[in-house]
Amino acid sequence: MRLTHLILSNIGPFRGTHIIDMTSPNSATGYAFFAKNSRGKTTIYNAMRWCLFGEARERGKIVNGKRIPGSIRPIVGDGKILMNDSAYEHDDQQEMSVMLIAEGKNGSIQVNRSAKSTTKFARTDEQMKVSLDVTIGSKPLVSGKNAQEAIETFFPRGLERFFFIDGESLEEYTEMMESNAIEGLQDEVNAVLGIPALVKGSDDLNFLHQTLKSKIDKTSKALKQSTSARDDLIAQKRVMQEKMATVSKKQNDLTTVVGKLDDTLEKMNANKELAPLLEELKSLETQITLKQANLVEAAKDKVSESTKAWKVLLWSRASAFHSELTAQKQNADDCERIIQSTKVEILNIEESINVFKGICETCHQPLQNIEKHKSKLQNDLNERQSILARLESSVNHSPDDLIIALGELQKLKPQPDWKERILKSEQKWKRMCNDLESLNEQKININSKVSEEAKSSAGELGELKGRQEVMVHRRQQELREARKDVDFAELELKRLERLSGNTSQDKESLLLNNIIGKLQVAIRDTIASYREKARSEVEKCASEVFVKLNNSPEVYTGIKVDKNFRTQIRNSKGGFERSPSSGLTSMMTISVIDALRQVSGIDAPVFLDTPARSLDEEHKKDLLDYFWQSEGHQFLIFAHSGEYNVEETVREHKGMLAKAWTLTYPRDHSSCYLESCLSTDVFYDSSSKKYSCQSCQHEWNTETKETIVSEVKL
Amino acid sequence: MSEKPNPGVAELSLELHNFISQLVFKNDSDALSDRPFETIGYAFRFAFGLGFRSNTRKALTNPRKDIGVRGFRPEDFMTLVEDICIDEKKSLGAVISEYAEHGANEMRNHLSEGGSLLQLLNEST
Repeated sequence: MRLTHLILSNIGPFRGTHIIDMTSPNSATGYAFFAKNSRGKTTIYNAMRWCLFGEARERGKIVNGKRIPGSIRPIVGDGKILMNDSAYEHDDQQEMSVMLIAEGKNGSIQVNRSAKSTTKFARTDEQMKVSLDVTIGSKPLVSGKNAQEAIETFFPRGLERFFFIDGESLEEYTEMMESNAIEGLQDEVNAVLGIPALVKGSDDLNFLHQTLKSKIDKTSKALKQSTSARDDLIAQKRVMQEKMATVSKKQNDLTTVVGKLDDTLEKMNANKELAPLLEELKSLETQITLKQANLVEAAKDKVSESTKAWKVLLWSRASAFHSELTAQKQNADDCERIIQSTKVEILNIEESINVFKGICETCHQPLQNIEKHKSKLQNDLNERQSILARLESSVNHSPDDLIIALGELQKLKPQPDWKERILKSEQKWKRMCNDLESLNEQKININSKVSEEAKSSAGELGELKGRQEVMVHRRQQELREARKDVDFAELELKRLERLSGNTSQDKESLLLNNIIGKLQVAIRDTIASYREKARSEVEKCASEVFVKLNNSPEVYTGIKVDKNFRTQIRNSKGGFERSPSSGLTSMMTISVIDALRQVSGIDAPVFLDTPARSLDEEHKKDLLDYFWQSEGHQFLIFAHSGEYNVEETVREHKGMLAKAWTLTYPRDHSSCYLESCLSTDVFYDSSSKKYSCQSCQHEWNTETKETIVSEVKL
Repeated sequence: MSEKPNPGVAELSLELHNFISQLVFKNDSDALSDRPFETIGYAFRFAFGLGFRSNTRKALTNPRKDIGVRGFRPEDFMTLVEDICIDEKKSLGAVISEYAEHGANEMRNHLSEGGSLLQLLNEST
């Protein structure tokens, strides 16, 4: 495959569309991009990886002999992005694309990958729609996943690192190749060996083998299960028979009980005319029971109220006693008052008699008839004493006695409503008695119409019917359960019948499994043999390259590649170089990588970014001399100004170089850089920081960071 | 003041004692019968009440049976019968018993005529 055109649009520092024409009139294979840092060398390198594989990664790391891949560089977003900053920030719709056009064995190849924002301003790659279109020869255009698969046919992803070589990462390869590395270049080698699809074929066979084995195991298991199921089936058939017998027995039981119930119902039907009377009797009995309970309550209430009845009776006469005693007490009180006042009067009269001096107490004149006056006082005294004696003799009971007696009587006094309450409770009890009596009469009346025998028979039949109904319900339940058991047993029987069916081991599967096993062994042997062959080829090829690249081929005679693809430099003494220079090591690494690439058989260009890192002048030259001589394969280097001088390189490798370009920023030019002009008559305006060509009027701003691609005249 | 009468014992002739004993409500099965008294003491009080109300006494016939001090205390009714006791030189229990004898007899007659005991509260009141 030979690249003819690379078209970059709004990627990295490439603003707008840049068409890099790589067609060459001669058969030279060397291509070079020269630039200072940040002018877009690595961008072109990454643009091609993105175009082919849909991602461009940062440089990876080797930690403890294992490769840790770098992170994927986003198309848009914060930090370092793939899209051109100006296009991302200023364009109405952010869009970026890379197109590769090449000539392959099957005709023209065209790969176009583009990313378009789905929103006004895409902030993440999720908001970018990436599309891929591939055309190979005369085949129709394919897109998306199919397009990616089409790329795999001419540029396998697994071999990417043999074609996109990062000089900055050479040390990582070196570390992996050294004898103390854990896995050496296992991944790389496996990728190379995977090309004939042997490994994939082996994986497919493994899968087939596993599937077949699983099927055979399953059949074996089924066979075992089948044998076991046959035994279980016989047992289950016995269980089934027992369950069926149980159902049959339960069915008979139910029929018997239902028959008995029908008999009972028939008998009850014969006594149908008695039914209402019996019902009434039942109802009456219920009413009587209730009434009896109420009557007991009423009787108890009457008893409770009756405890006060004697007071009501006594008081009907004792109230007169109470009134009389009250009157006696009043009299006694009055008497007592008069007695006391009479006593005072007697004392006064007695005093008057004792102190009498014949002087009138009113006018204080001497009295004429003293004796008469004295006699009058004595009569008054006698009269008072007689009254006092009469009063004292008339008192039968002292007021204190009367108070006690009244108190005793008071205890017998009933409350005013007692009589009414007692009579009410009596009436209530009587009413209840009458009601009960009436109910009893009704009962007797009905009883007289229904013979005891009929009554007893109806009662018995009723009870029997109840019992039989319960029994029927129970038997029905049992029958249902038994039928359910039969259903379950039947299901189990069917399952066992299925399991015990004609299962036999598939002979074809066994045969196929055997063949696959043999094939696997063959493939494993082939891979081992191929690996050994590849190792031998890589060793041979790498040694040839190394001899060409190193500047002391007589001392460093080749490269030893061990079975794990770890490498060492052979010296002329038949030993290995213990501490090779960094340049020599880089040469060894490049040699091995190129050897692997050659062994892979892939016909594709090689891209080498910062190729001459850690190489001395002589090795740098040897490197280009070797790679640019390779027939057929394009070899593109992306070199910064410190690695290779443009004029010198062009001069020294004339005839090897097909094309070369410089990548610059506008500020790198102090004369007109347009190929058609190249005038040195320019004017610089320091205020606007712009140059303007006085010949062609072309202007360029020294502030902008947009790469200018200029082809170097060879 | 004259001397207080003796308390004596409340009693009834055996026949009437038996009668009023039957008027005591003993259990639920007595609900349908006219047995309005909680104890024999209440039944005796009722009979005494009836006799006293009509101020009629009846001499007790032998044999007799007492009510029991726990069921009836004659002293509680001294105010009502003291004078009679003094006049007739009888104990309180004796006079009260005569009143009750009459009352119980009246109760028996009333019941035999189909009446109910508590109606007696009304009839003579």
